[in-house]
Order: sequence, then C-alpha cells, then structure tokens
Amino acid sequence: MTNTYFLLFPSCVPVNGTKVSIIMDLDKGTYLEIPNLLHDILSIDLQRFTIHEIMKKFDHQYDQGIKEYFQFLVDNQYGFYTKDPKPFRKPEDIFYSPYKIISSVLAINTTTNYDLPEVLKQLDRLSCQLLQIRIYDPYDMDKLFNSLSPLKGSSIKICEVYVCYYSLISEEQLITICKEYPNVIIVVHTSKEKKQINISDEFNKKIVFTGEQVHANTKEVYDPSLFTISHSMYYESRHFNSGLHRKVCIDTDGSIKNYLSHTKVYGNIKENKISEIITKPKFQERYFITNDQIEKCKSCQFRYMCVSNSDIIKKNGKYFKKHTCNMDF
Amino acid sequence: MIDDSEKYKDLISIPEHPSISYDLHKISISHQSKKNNSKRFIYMKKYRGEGSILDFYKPNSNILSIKEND
Ligand code: SF4
Repeated sequence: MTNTYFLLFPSCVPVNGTKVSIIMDLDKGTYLEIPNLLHDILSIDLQRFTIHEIMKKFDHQYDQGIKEYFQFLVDNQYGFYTKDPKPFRKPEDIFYSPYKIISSVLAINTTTNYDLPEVLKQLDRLSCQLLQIRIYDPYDMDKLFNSLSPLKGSSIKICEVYVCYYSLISEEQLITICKEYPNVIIVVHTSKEKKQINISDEFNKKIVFTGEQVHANTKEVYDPSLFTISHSMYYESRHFNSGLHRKVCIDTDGSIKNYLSHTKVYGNIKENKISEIITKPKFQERYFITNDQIEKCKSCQFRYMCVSNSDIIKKNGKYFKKHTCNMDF
Repeated sequence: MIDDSEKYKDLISIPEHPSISYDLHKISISHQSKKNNSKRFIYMKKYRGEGSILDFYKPNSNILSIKEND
C-alpha cells in the first residue's frame, strides 16, 4: 500500500455541500452522497500523494475509514487503484457550445400579438436548441398548428408546448400537431383530468394532461428528481449560469428578457430583432454569474446540476437569487 | 488492493493524444460494465425528449413537477 495511489475516474467529481457532499458521476448521471470529511480527503491532490501519505496527513486518525471508503468507491466504479498515477490526467475544465442561443421561452396569452412564426425563424437562425412555448389561455389549435411550421427542419431539437385546457380542446388536433412536428412535446395544463395520450408506441411519445396550472406567475420547481447530471451541464455551470446562459425569453406583450419572471426588459420583439438584443453586454451580464458566486447556492452540493432561471440581485457586493429553492441543506 | 492500471489503460492512452477528441475520452469511460444496484446511489432523472426527439444535456425550465411515469 505504501506506493499505491487511489484515483477517482475523470467523470466522477466530488462536490462539497454544507452538511453533506456528493460525488457526481457524469457518465452514469448518478450521484453518491458522501460525508464532508471524505470530500476533504478526495480534494487532496490524489495524483501526488499515495494512500499511505494521505493517511499520514490525517495523523492516521482515519486509516480504517479511508481504506474502507476507497474500497467502496472502487467496488462501485467511482475510482481505482494504481501505482503510476501520472498518465491519468483530469479533463479540461472548459465549456464550449457553438450555439448563439441554447434555450428560449415564449409566453402567449389572449392579448399577445407578436408574430410567432417570425420569432421561430429568428430563433432558428440563432441555432436555438431548446424551446418552451407557454400558452396561458385557451388558444386556437389550428392557429398553433400553422404558427409552428418554421419548426420543420429547424435547429430546435425540443419544443415543449404548454397549452391550456378548455372544454372544446380537440385531442385530434393535438395529436396532429405531435405527428406533424416530431420535435414537439405537448403538455395540457389546468386539465380537469390527469391522463396521457399515446402518440406512438414505437417512440413512446405521449401528450400529458395535468391539473397543474401554467400562468404568468408560475414559479420554477426545484427538486433533486428534476436535476440533471451530464458532462455539458457540469462544465457549463462551472463557467456560466446554468439556466440563463444564452437564453432569451419573450413575454406575452413581446418584451425581450433573460427570463420571463425577470423585470428587466431589453427590447420588444415587435420592434427589435433577437440577434441585436442578445449581443448587448447588459443582456449577457447574467450569463456569467455562476452558482459558485451566488450566496446559498455556492455551498449547495447540487450547484452543478440545478437549472435555475431566477433573477439575480446584488446586495452589499454579494449575489442572491431572487427566487430560490426551499431546500434546507 | 489490486493495481487496476492495466484494466483502465484506455484512460492512460487517450489523454496522451491531444488530437483525440474529448468525446472519445468520454466513450472510453462509458464502457465500464459492472452493474451496481447499491442503495447508496441515487439515480437521477436524465432529461430527455421522447420518441424521435434527441436528448439534450439540460432542461429548459422546470415549471411542472411531472415525473417520467406520471
Ligand atoms: S437553487 Fe441553489 S441552493 Fe437551491 S438547489 Fe439550486 S443550486 Fe442548490
């Protein structure tokens, strides 16, 4: 053991929290809760110190624990033993994305009069990948079907459409939209009954009816079951704001914002092009505020897997999320 | 304590060649096969569009708490 090293796999990253820490496995999309003390041990430069030297650093107080935990991590494929650690390098800590816009949220109600197809075309030109369209009120499904036509062959990979339930809503029309636009997922909110319509057994595609409501004041849900562990998510959230980085949102009146719940408006889609707004340094400011810089989040073990689009306020030189989670760590 | 360097030699060779893309590096690690059902692991819901919709690495905005099997 004197010349044996313990290394974590490069895709397994320890993240410390206030009460507990975790090891995120970016390949498997899982995490393992560990005591903070083990996090401290794993934060030592494992490539420089043998297991024996690590034990010595802690005055041999935790020899048994270190031995058992390392073995547990090896058994569960979080790490391995080696006598020659030098060639095992850590992956580069960078995030690269070619997309000018990664995600976008659009809101529509009965008074909305901006040109939806034109917005979709602009988002496509900016290579937007994820789109969410929130329709707060009952809406003509034929109009929706026609307005979505720019989605065909567009860069948008996933378009979630939240439509409001009303008594005359036609399931047939919803099915037609899903079949016509394979990148569309429909959720019917404010529904009286909770159900699902299968669109295709082969692809497991369905329309979900939920009693939950979507309206102008709908808040984001923070729940570990909705958090996402992936390589890109990890590296993006280390360098950028995981929710707001390259996101553009358009409110019911056409206001262009970082996110719908924010108060700051940068322009209006009826007068401005999205491309001209998103290049403004002021618009991009929030792209660069990471969870590591935000109070509470910076000591949360979920900070590299939690997508939050909350506005960020600065008080006495410190950043705070305006809408934060209720989680008690 | 067994030295696993040989077993994971893929991890050694790939970082040695900067011309090989990072993706390949990921693939080499993804092929670990041992199944692990330990209760200590909390399996995360990975965000994915269904059917012919491609996966993406993160969600847009979580406003409803609809779970995969709701
Ligand atoms: S909002 Fe902040 S504190 Fe709450 S789960 Fe997300 S990262 Fe953690």
